[in-house]
Amino acid sequence: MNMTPTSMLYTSAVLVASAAACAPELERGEERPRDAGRDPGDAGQAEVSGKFTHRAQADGSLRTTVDATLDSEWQYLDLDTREADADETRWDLGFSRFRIRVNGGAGGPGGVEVAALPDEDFAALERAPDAGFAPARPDSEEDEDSEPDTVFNSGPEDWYAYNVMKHTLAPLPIVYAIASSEHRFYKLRIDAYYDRAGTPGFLRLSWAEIAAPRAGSSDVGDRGPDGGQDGGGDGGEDETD
Amino acid sequence: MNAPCASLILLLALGFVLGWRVTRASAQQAGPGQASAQQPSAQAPVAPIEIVVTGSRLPQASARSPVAVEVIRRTEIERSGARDAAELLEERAGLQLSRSFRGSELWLRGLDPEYSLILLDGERVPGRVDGAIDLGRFGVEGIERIEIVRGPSSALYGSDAIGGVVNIIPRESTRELEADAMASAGTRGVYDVTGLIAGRPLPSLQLQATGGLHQADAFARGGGPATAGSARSQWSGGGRASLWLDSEQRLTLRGEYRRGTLEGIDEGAGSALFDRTQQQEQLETGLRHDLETGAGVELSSRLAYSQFREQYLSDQRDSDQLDRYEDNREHSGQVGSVLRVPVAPEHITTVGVEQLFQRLDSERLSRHGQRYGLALFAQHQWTLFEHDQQALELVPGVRGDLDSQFGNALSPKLALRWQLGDELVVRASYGRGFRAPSFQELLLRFENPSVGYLVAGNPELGVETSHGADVGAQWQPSEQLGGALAFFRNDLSYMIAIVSSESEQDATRAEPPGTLFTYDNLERAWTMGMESSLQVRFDDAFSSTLGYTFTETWDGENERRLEGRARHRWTTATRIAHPAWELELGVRAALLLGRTFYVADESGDEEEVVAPAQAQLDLRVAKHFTRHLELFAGVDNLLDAGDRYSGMRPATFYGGLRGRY
Repeated sequence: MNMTPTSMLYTSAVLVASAAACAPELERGEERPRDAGRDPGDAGQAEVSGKFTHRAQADGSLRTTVDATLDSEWQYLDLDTREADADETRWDLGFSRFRIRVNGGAGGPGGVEVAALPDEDFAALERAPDAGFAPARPDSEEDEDSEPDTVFNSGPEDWYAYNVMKHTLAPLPIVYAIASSEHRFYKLRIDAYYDRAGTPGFLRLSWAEIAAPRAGSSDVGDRGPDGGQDGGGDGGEDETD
Repeated sequence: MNAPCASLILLLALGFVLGWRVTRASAQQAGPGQASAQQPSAQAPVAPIEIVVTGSRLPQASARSPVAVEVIRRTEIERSGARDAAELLEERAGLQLSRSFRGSELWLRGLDPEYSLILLDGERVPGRVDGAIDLGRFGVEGIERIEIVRGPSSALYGSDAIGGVVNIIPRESTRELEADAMASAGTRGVYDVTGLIAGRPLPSLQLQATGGLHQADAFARGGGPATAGSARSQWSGGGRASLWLDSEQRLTLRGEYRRGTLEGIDEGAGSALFDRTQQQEQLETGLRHDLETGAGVELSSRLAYSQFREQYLSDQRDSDQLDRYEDNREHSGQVGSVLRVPVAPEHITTVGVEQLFQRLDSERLSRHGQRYGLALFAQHQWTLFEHDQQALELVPGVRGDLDSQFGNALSPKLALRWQLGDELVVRASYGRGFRAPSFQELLLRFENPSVGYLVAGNPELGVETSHGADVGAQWQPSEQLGGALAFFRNDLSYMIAIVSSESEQDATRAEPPGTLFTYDNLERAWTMGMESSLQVRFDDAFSSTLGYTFTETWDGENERRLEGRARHRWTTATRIAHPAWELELGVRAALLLGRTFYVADESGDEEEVVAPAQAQLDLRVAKHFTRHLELFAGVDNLLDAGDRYSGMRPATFYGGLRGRY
């Protein structure tokens, strides 16, 4: 609407009148130091790389917290070096809020594959399974995003359960086996999506390197960058059912 | 036999029995020749004629009002023990108060708070938060009376007046010198101090000042750190000056400033805790010129400006990731005139014009919201016949609104008043109503970082429309007995609803399913029901009002009842006094039955749940020492009604002192 003399008069009056409601701006309480991601039970030196914080556990595994709160930015992790690394040949997993990328198949050229092991005990798993690995697949119609589908996020099959009453995500008790971009194998469990202050997007992961599948029994790593597009993900789907 | 029929019959039977007894008692006491309240004679004291303004926008005798106007008078306000308008209305027949962390909102005739218009001295009150005006903002120290008009009133008031109009009339002293002060304290950190001083330094000038301070602690229910009700701390100060220019003209200038803070603890998703503070400020100013000529012509012109500012701070504990601060400021300006002309004894015409300006500055809007509106309205009161306590009046009215935001809206109404003797008045009306989309619905741009959804306003929204009908009767067989019965129905179309937006899905954001929302005009709903009340009064020793309301609602989009509405609502306000001891007991109670809620389980399926009955009971005892001093004590919510979701304060005991001169 063009400014008419009447509207100019009103606008001027509004500007003058704004001084009437003049309470001081509310002050926020004094925050305690930011402790996002720190687990009170954790001892030991933290190892920080980008938005990843690693802490070694007594059982030899790592507990990693990633600040993936930004919706518009991805945090990439190279499992082999524990570094935050966005190089397309080196990163293995990417995180942005509740979404997880896998650098293999439709997800990238890294050749990374993941198998979901719902019945597995994290502590007891010492060797990668012989089958069930799958890279990222092209986005399906089953979800409403445009991300490649992975063993972590594929619409109907996600790493979390969504509570529609509380609007919260809770990790499902699944252990994931990961074949990295350097053809090493890892086990990984997602322990939490919220930090101690309740902020979503702070994923806490437990992970450790495990032995490769028995020689000759695995087909992991035989595929090229597009290897997952023609059925490579079937095993992963079956595992998450 | 279903519950509403049974309740109605019970109420009518009770009314009949009491009516017969009271009429007999009154006849025996007064003896032959005693006149009724409507027929004052030299032998009986002349009952003051009750004046109301909300039915026609100009002062008018309540009995002649084309629509029924319910009045809560100053004496009743003081006897209720209520601290604010919300507490005052919550145990009234036909009204339902809903409390949330943002305050107390009014549900009138089963409709959400955005479908009721709240006026302060006839002016639209700004500051709807989530569609509702928090009635807890209005301390009773500044209220002379509250007038309630139920049913569609857009023909006089325009937008929002679908369920009805609640007009808060500020106190206006007419005495040469008046002072009134009250102080009370109670459990749960409740204390209140209020005062009024007024005087007439010149024969033509009346001055008045009011002020109040109210405080209450937060409370929790059901364990956990989250509060079910916010701590409230507010103060207000206001002034009023009336100048009689001559015997026909009066100029009134008024201004009031209120500042209140609500504080609570909220629990978010993922167990995040937030310390929430809302600071609300409201400034009301107005200048009015009233003219009443000897020929019965009345002209009232007014200029009003009000401002509402809310600062909202949600401060996450142990982190600042989810902290949120908003500073919302709403300006509202109104200019208008209303003219009433008795064209002939049987024809009274009321015409009016008003211009409205509104502006909202909020960080949650994609840009500031601004609108200008011009409205013309007319109402004609046509007495078809009037003879020997019988009268039939037809009152057509229409209002046209031109608005820079939504275009235009035409709201016609036809009302009928049929007086059958001096005991019974029957009223019926049909009207169209509308509600303009709010700035939030038009322009919102809000992302909830905790839950992860985005809500975007829709600038293409149109008005919501309604049509409603009312039939009712008021029965006043004697000064001791009265009753009212009304049936209503409201049908709403093009209601604005939140919808999941597929079209605005931004592929690069990769929103999870169903996390981008907007608004659209697509829903429809209806509400219907019956409101009834019965008043009994024995001299100054006993008075009681019993009310029953049945409300049925339907959400046409989801094909189910609207959530939270009480199907059955019983209310009572009873006063028992011992005049010799100058002692009085007041009892106010409300019983709500049949509130339906829909609760989603973890898979997202919704189940219908009927909430348990809710019984509120307030008691108050007062002892007067001369006419200048009153000592009082009481308890609110004695039965401890409410749960963690209802926001009702648990049982609170209080006591205090009032002095007046």
